[in-house]
Amino acid sequence: MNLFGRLRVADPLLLGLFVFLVLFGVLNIYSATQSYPPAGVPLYLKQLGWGVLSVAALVGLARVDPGILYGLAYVLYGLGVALILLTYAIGHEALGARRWLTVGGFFMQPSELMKLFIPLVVARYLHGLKAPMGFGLRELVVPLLLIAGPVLLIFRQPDLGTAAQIAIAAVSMILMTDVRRGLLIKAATAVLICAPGGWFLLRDYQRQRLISFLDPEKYELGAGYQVIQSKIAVGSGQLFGKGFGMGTQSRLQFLPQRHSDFIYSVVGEEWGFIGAVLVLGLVFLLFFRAVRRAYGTGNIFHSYLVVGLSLQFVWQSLLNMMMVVGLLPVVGIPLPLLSYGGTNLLVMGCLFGLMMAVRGSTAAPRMGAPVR
Amino acid sequence: MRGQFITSGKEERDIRTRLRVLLILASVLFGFLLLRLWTLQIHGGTDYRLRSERNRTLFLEVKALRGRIYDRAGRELAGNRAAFDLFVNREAAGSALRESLDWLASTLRIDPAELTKRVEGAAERGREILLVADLTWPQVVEIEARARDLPGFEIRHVFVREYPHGSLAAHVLGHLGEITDREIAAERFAYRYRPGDLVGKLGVERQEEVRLKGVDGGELVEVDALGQGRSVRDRVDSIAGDEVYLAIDLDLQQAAEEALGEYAGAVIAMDPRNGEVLALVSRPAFDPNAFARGLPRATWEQITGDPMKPLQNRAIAGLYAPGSTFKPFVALAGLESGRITLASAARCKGELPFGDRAWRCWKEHGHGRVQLHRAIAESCDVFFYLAGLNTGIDLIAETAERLGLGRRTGIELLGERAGLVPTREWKQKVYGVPWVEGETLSVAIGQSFVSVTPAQLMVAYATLVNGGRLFRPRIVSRVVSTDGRRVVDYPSEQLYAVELDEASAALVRDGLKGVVNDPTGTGWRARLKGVEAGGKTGTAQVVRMTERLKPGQEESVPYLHRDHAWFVGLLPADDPHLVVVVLVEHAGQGGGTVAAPMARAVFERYMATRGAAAL
Repeated sequence: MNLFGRLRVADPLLLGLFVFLVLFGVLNIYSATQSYPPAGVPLYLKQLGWGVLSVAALVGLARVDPGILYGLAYVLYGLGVALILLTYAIGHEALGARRWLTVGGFFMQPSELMKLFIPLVVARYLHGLKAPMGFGLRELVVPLLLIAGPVLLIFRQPDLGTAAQIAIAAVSMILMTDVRRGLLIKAATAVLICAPGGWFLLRDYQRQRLISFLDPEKYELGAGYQVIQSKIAVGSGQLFGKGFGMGTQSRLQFLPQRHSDFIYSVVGEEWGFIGAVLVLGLVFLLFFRAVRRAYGTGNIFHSYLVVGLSLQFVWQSLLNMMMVVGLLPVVGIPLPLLSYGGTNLLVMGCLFGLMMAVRGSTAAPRMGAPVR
Repeated sequence: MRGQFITSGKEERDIRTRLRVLLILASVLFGFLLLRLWTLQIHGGTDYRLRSERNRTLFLEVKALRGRIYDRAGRELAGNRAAFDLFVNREAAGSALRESLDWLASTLRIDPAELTKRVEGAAERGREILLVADLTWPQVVEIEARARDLPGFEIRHVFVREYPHGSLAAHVLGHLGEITDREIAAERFAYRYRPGDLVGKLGVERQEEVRLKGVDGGELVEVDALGQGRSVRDRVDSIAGDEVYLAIDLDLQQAAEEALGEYAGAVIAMDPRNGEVLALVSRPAFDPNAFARGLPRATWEQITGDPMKPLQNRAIAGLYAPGSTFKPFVALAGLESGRITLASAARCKGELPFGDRAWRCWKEHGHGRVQLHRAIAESCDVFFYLAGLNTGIDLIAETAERLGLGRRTGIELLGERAGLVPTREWKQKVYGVPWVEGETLSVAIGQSFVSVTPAQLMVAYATLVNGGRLFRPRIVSRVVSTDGRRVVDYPSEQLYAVELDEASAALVRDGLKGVVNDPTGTGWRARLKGVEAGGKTGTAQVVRMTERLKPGQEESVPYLHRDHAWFVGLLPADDPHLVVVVLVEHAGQGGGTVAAPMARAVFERYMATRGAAAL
C-alpha cells in the first residue's frame, strides 16, 4: 500500500477540514505570540508538533474496529475517572486549581479525555435498552449518573468551563436518543427552575466572571476587561481585518490568553469578518459532516456514539466563540483545533478518529447518504 | 459485533427526525454567532477600530492588598504599609514636563538628571511612570499645593510590603522581586500578572505566592483631548490575598536570633511530636524590606556578591560535617546489630593507633575506661572509633539513612540540599577506589565524607526521640481568606514510620541526657534548673589540624579554617517537646562552649512563655 493509501480515511473531506483548521490555528498562534514570545521553543512550533500527533491519532483510530470500542467502553470510562481522581492526589496546581497531571514534562488535563469517554459510555449503555415507549426517567438514571460523576469531579478541580461544556454536550446527546417527548418538556421546566440554585455552587471568581458578563462595562478591569478587549479586537477587524501579524489589540497585550482561549479574537482582528465567518463556517461544516455520518449507520450504538462525539466538538466550539464575542461569560474553554494546547488538540484528533471508525456495520460508508 | 442491536425501521426514522432538529437548532446558534460577528465587525466595526487605535482610556491598576503572614499566635511577621508615590504620564504632562521636573528636582532635592533619566527610560507610551517612591508627608503637601501647575503628575496612595521585625526570620519569610518574563508565561501565574508586578522569590512569600497575591482591581480613567481633566469612569475593587499562619513561634524565633548574635550559622527548632518548625534562623541574613519595592541593581549585586552568602538559608542549604552529633547514630547502629552492647568498653589514652597513624581523641589525656553512657555524655572519640570499626560502615550508613540523613527533609522552602551519607558503593562510584577502614573511623565521629544540613540533623534526632515517626518539617500551618470563610489547614505529615529497636534507642537517649546533666557531660552549659534537658555537642573540623591548640590560641587560626560548633538540644530529655539544632560556623571553639548556651537560651524562652508545667 502506498503512502496515500495508508492515509486514506473514510471521509477525506473531514480530514482535510481538520488539517486546514489546525494549520490556520498555528498561523494565528504565531501571530499572537510574535511580539512577546515566551522563553523556550516557540509556541507555534509546539502546536505544530501536537498537530502532527493529533492527525496521526486521527488516522490511526479511524482504522479501529468499532466493536473494540464497544467492548472497552466501561474500562476506558473508568480509566478516565481514575485519572481525574489522580489530579486531586498528585495534580499540578495552578491558580488554586488542580487540573493538570505532569507526564514526562508535559502537562496533561485528564478532564479532556472525558469528552471521548462519556459519549462512548452513554452510547454503550443506551443502545441496548429496550423501551418500547422510549426512554423515561428510569432508563436515564444510570447515564445521567455516568455523566454527573466525572462532571462534578471536574467542577471541583475547579474547572467550571470544561465541566459545563462536557455536561451540556452530554445532556444534549441524551436528548438526541430515544427519550420520551413528555420527559423532554418536564426536563426543560426543571432546568428553568433549578438554574438559580447553581449560583451557590460557584466560587467567588466564577461568580465575578458571570456578573462581569452581565455588565461588562462596569467591570472593565476585572473579568470584564477580557470581554471588552476581545470585543474591541474582533470589532476592529472590520470586513477584511488588519492583516496577518498586524493586530494591535493582540500585539499590545490588551488581550490576555490570546494564543489559547482567545485565539478566535485574533482571527477576528487580523482576518476580519471574512476570516471569522470562514472559521465559523468550517466548524459548522465539520459538525454537519459528522452528524451526517450518524444517519443510516444501521446501528444505534454507532449513531449515538457519533452524535455524542460531534456534540462535544460543536459545543466546545460554540461556547468558546460565544465567549470571545461577548455572548457568554469568560469561562476558560479553548477553541477546538485552533487554540494553543496539546491535550485538547490530541483529544480532538482522537474524537474525529473515533467518529471515522464508525463506518456502519451493514453497509459501506455512505458519505452524504440521502436523508430519505 | 455481538449483542448489538440493529435498528428497527421505526428507530431509524426517529433518530433521523431528531438529528434533523439538532441540525436546525445548531444552525440557529451558528446564525446567532454570524449575526453577532456582523454587528461587531461590520455594523460597529468603525467604532471599534477607533477604540482600538485611539485608546484614550487609561487603566490604573489598584493592586490587591497582599495577604499578611502571621506567627502561630497571630502576631504579624509580614504586612503592608501605606506609602505615597509620585507618578507621571509623559503624554499628559506635555510641554510643561521640563519645567515641572526642574521644580520637583529642587523641591525634593533630587538630581534633575536622575529624574529625567527615569522619565525617558520608561519604554512604554501611555503608561504611568513611577517617578518618586515613598514621598514624605511634607513633600506630599508641597506637591499637592502646586498640583495645578503640574499637569500629568499625580500622587497615588499605594501599599508596600512591610516586615515589622526587619531581618527576623528572613529566610522563612523570603522576599519579593520583580516578576520575570518566564514567570509571566508560567501557567500558574496566568491571567493575574503584568510586567513590573512583584512576586515572592524566596521563602513563604514564594511558596504561598498564589494565595498571598489576591486579585488586582483598578480604575478606568478617561483622558480628554488635551490630556488633562481626567475622570474616573469606573472602578472595580481588588480582592485582598489570603492570610498565612506559620507554625513559627515569634518568641522562640526572637530568642534564637538573639542567641546566635553576630555569628554566622543557623538555629532551627521543631516540635518532634508533629513536625512544626517553631524557629528558623540563618545568619548572615538580609532585610526583606529592602526588596519590597524592587531592588536597585547595585544593591542586588552587592547582596549576591557577598562571600558570606546572606541569601543562603544555612538551616536547609548549608552542608556541614556533623562532627560528634553523629555519634548517637553510630551507637544506635552498633546496639541494634549487637556489634556493641552496654558492657562494651574502650580504654581511651587520648589517641588510638590504627593503620599508619594515631587517631586522636579530643581529650588530650584520655577518658580512661569508657562505656556507652559516658562515651556519649563525654563524647569520647576513641570509644566511637572502636564502635565504628565493630559496627562497620554499612550498618552505620543504613541507620543514618533510615533516620533521614543524606536526603532532603521536604521542608516547604526553596533550595534545600540533600547532604551525604557515604557508603562503599558511593566511594567506588565517585572515586573509583574501594572503601578503606580508616574512613570508617572518620565517619564514626562525623567527619570526612559525611555531611548534613541543620534541618536534617533536627529531623533525625526528632525521629530518634519520638519513637520513629519521621515528619516533614512544616512551616505553614494554615491559610485563611480575608473574609475568614475559606480555611485551608496544612496537616502534619509523617513521611515514614521508621523501625527502631526501642531498647537500643532508650540507651542512646539516656546518653543524650547525660551529655547535659552528668557532672562531666560536654553539654553542661545547656543545663536547666527544674527540668532535665538532653542533647549532644559537636565540633566539626573544617581542615585537619596537625597540632593541638592550646587554650587561647583559637584566635590565631584564619576564620575560614576554624571549627564549626554544633549543639542538638532536646527539651525535656524524656519525651521531648522541642528539638533545637544550633550550628555556629567557624566558631573556633567546641559546640559545648559556643552552641550549647545558645540552645539553653531557646529552652529558657520556651519555658518562660509556655510555662515549665507544660512539659
